Amino acid sequence: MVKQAVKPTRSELLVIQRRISLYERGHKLLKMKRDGLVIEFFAVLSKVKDIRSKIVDDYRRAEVKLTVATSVDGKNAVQSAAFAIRDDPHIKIGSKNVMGVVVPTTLESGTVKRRIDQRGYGVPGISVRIDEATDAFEQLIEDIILAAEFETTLRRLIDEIEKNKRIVNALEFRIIPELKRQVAFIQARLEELERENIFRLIRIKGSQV
Amino acid sequence: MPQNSPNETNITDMVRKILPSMGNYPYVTARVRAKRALLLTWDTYAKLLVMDVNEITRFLGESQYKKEITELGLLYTGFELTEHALNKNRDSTYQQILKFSEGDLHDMLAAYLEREDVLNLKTILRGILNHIPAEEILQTLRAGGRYPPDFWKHLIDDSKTLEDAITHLKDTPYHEILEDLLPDFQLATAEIRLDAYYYAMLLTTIRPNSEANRSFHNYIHSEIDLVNLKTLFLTKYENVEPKVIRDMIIPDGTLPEKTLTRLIDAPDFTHFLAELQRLPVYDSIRTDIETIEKTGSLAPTIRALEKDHLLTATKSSYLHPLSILPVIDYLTRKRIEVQNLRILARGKEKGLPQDTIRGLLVVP
Repeated sequence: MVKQAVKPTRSELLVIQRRISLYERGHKLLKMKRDGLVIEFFAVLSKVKDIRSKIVDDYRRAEVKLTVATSVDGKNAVQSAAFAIRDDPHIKIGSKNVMGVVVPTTLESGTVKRRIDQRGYGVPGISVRIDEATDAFEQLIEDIILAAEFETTLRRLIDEIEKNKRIVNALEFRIIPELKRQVAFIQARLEELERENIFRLIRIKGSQV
Repeated sequence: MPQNSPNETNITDMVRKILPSMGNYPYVTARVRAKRALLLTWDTYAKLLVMDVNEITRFLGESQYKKEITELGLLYTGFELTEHALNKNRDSTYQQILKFSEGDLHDMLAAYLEREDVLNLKTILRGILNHIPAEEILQTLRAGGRYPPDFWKHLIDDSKTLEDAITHLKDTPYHEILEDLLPDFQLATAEIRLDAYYYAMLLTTIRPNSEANRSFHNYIHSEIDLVNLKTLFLTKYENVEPKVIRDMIIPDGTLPEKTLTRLIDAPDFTHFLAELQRLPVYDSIRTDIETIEKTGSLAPTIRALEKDHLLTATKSSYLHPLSILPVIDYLTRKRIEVQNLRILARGKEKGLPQDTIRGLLVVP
């Protein structure tokens, strides 16, 4: 920070004091925001942990289901069933505001997982094992979408906390102490001017006497 | 071979036209009995259970699958090789039996094996509707049905759209079924109609003129029941509306209309199971049903129903040794063997627990 030349005047002192009081209020508010963001961060973090472990479990489950389907019904039957479903899952993404941080939110959850009669293939001809594998992978995709939402929220919260921390630190350790030093300097300078004035007045009075 | 005189030939032709031609049952059943002796026994499966994929492939390379393993050995390895060899052997076995059968036996077998064609047609329709590359569709087709692989290849090559495919099928019974569904073609409805057509056609082909054929008729009826029960399990478990389920039911099963209605209209899965308890089939799946809530999976219950049905053919075949039943029994056993070997190879490759693999195997 480039040091500005400070004019040691009373008006400048008032301006700086007003700035200090504003910065201190801002610092207090930013600290409160940081604490709020940290609380929100830990809440989302536990959700991320839960969804991560759910993804791992669901992936294992889906893999076993797929292995059983491929083993009993054959790779060709599984591939044939996969031909029936080709539309990519569509999700609607919105946004919400968490203490000034804009985070994504899925507006329609549960759009990937479909009921058996909506999967495209004819139910009487499909193997239960293939259908259960389809169901398990649909569930996995839903979890991944949810995880993407939570992890993006978490990343944005981390960025915001970092940004906030930098501002709070700058205010706490740089800007406010600097301003306080300036106040002290101006006050010292003003007091010195005051003393010089008094001394000058005494000297004038003495010479007149 | 002595040549028939022109008069004799005419008389034989006339008799064949008037009377339904008899099949060569003694010959086909003798060939099938010889083939059946080559099928793997439980002892062999027990040995295979402790082998890895490469050992299983090597074992198959020294068995009746030798020809296919050698032919495909350069193209595939590991599980892929096993799966392709098993499928090829199964399809060629089906075709071989179909070729050496004659008369009404041939007709019934061809009708029975048309299930492979229905599967192919479903795959092609799915592929065309969802713009899957022709190469990819071709690789998933089966060659064990009534129609030769070239027929399906031409169908895929000549059909860029669904309408093209339906036009190409003009000389087959599938044309009318699929054309009826245009212009708002629904794949799921088409597949249900194809399944219904298959069973109706098969039941019409089997003439109930002998005890054995009547047993075969009953076997097909019970297969329809199995398909319907499976549909009911899957749909009721996911709370599908009764109106939608009703359209999925294949006609001509043995379950009475009243029973079916009660099962379809059951308000939830618990009530459906309560209704199911009244059926004789419930006893064979009682223990598996108890696991549904715990595991959230219907697969063990359906697998138990399938195992029960697959073994029915074996029981009937002993009662009528010179009929279509030993042939159907062999085709079923062959299908089970291919399935078992695939389960072993795939299960081992993917590290499935031995108990899970053992639970999936069907040993007649």
